[in-house]
Amino acid sequence: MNKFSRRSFFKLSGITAAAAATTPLAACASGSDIPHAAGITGKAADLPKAKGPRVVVVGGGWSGLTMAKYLKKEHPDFDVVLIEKRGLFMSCPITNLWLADQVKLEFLDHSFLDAAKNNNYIFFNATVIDVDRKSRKVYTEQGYLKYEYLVLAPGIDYNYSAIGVTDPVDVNTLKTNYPAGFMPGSEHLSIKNKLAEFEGGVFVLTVPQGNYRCLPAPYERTCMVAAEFKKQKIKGKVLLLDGNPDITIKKDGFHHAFDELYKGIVEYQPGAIIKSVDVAGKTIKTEFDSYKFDDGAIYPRVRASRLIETLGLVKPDSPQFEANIDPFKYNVIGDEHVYVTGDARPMGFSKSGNTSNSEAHYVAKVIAAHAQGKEIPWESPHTVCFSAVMIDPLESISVDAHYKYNEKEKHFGFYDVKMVQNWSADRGQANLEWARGMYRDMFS
Amino acid sequence: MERREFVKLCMTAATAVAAAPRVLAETGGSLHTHERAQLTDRQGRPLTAHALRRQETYVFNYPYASTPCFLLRLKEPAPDGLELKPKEGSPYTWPGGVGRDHSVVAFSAICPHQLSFPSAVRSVIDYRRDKSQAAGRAGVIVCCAHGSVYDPTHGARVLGGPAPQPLTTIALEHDPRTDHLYAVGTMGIEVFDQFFSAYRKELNQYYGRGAYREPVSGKAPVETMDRYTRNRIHC
Ligand SMILES: Cc1cc2nc3c(=O)[nH]c(=O)nc-3n(C[C@H](O)[C@H](O)[C@H](O)COP(=O)(O)OP(=O)(O)OC[C@H]3O[C@@H](n4cnc5c(N)ncnc54)[C@H](O)[C@@H]3O)c2cc1C
Ligand code: FES
Repeated sequence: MNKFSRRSFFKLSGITAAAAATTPLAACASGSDIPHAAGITGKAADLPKAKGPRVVVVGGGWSGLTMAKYLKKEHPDFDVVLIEKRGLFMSCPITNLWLADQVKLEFLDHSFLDAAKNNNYIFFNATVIDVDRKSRKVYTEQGYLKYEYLVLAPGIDYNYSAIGVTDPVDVNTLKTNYPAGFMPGSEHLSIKNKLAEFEGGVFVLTVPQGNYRCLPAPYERTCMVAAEFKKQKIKGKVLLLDGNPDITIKKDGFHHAFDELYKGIVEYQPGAIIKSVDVAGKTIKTEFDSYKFDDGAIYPRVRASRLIETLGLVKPDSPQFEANIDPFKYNVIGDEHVYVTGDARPMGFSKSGNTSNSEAHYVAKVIAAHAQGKEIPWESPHTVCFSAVMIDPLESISVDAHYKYNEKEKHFGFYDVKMVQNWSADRGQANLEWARGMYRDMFS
Repeated sequence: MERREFVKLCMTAATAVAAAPRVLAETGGSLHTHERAQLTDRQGRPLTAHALRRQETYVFNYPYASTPCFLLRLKEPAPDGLELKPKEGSPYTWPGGVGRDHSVVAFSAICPHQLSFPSAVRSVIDYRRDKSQAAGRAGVIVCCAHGSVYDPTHGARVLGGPAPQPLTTIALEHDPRTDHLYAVGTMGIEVFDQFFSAYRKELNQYYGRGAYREPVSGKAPVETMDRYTRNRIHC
């Protein structure tokens, strides 16, 4: 069957034309084109009956996990279901330190079941494929759930076309052979394996333009990879191609680290906007130069999770396909029952775990208040971000910031920023404790 | 009621149960009573308030075997009567410092933000006699995990960072005759249940199954922070 039309799909799945006409798709407010009424997805998911207003949270990342816990705390009447497609949580933060053997994998992995058990919500290991906002149904591959409130926290996806890689074959090779390592799981394990196998030459890392996930992380990773080069006496260099004119955050700290700790190992190239990647020839082309590499991890541009686009929720002017929400209350414009949080938001906050965590504390209160016919004042998210620059002993730098809305320019800017750019072992330890605290907040 | 009188009154009460209602009256009904424990040195000898070095961080476990508290003799007297208002939870009146010069205070050392605490291995939360870079000042309790700053002279109220409420106050009694100190309960929001649930695995391992939640009674030995933990992390 080469042409798989909608009609034949419905025929195949045994749904009559009449049934198809009355499916939620016909009245679908999301504007997507997924035949979600077919087969099992047209049935209610096999879950306990809701004991109160059901809030469905999509995505068990830093935002969704915090959200599920605090929705229940803020309004115990809520019946909360967290839908997550992964079976095991793996933290993205601290993976750079794990690349350099500063923590074990157990430090990063956590159980979704423990989080649900400890905080009285339901964990549903499924993938969300569509939403019908009119009938308030969220569809998974295992059936649909009715919701009173829906929170979408699906995180990011990669945008390879923005670095000139559009052929699906090339995109696939790039993803497989040089994974970005900004969505946790196999990508990170592959990068760790690469490091263990690397025998010398150029190990390339890249920094995208735009509001990419975790501003300091590519620089931190550069330091950790370079530290491994030093420790393992690997001959070669870590080439960091930065699409920005300079280091985007904790600039002095990272410049010092590159110059003082990793002189001769790290080669930093600012203003290197990637125009194309010759995957077979292992060459990255920028406007004026081309760079050969032997191995590495290529971080393309970031966009909001494709789920946001699938559901027809993209903000019209968002270059990163982020969601069209009220910047203070987080609800989808015109729909006070659907919210978008975490890295899929369009506001210019730092796409970080700490930001997502503090924001979810606030948005849980917004939704709890809405359910009780109340409103609460806006609270700024909080960004606390440590970056490791050195190992044995682990030493880190940090930034701590809030945000303020600029009425005139209609966007948020950093506010109350504390930057500590001299690394210390105490900060290295605080870096680890930062993460332990966040895991406690999400899982215990 | 005069403070002195109050302490005297408390001291005439033979047990915590009898003493508690008086503290309760003084603090506007916000004392959570726990078993009474006398603060002692490591050998179990009663500790005197004047023997405490000013601005040194001391630690004792109270009200449970595994829940550490800071004991501080501040540079200055800590005034009583301060009204503290946690973001969520009832307001309470802080009783101020005890001892002859009202400078001895105690707080639970579990950070109410995400529960960092001093363990034998490390502590990211500490009192800073010198200037803390993160806090930009001296004489404060700083939690380096996410930058919460507390003011021990004013009931450990929050001066900065993400903490939603002050450190839990440990209510102390002072016997002006002997200069001895007793812990009798807590004030403010307790986070012990969350603490136990977050660290159950580690606490069972360290203290033996279930022993971590034994109430402290009779004596509560006090240590310096340097002895209590192997690694004091400052920021
Ligand atoms: C290497 C690295 C280092 C970092 N360092 C730091 C740091 O030091 N400090 C810091 O604060 N932040 C750091 N971050 C950033 C942080 O990880 C992210 O900002 C954070 O994870 C964003 O949270 P989120 O919930 O929006 O997205 P995620 O945490 O990515 O969660 C999204 C979840 O949604 C699930 N999902 C997506 N689509 C569906 C679907 N259709 N159905 C069901 N489930 C779905 C995904 O599986 C995922 O679990 C780092 C990130 C990386 C990669
Ligand atoms: S645990 Fe202390 S500031 Fe977060």
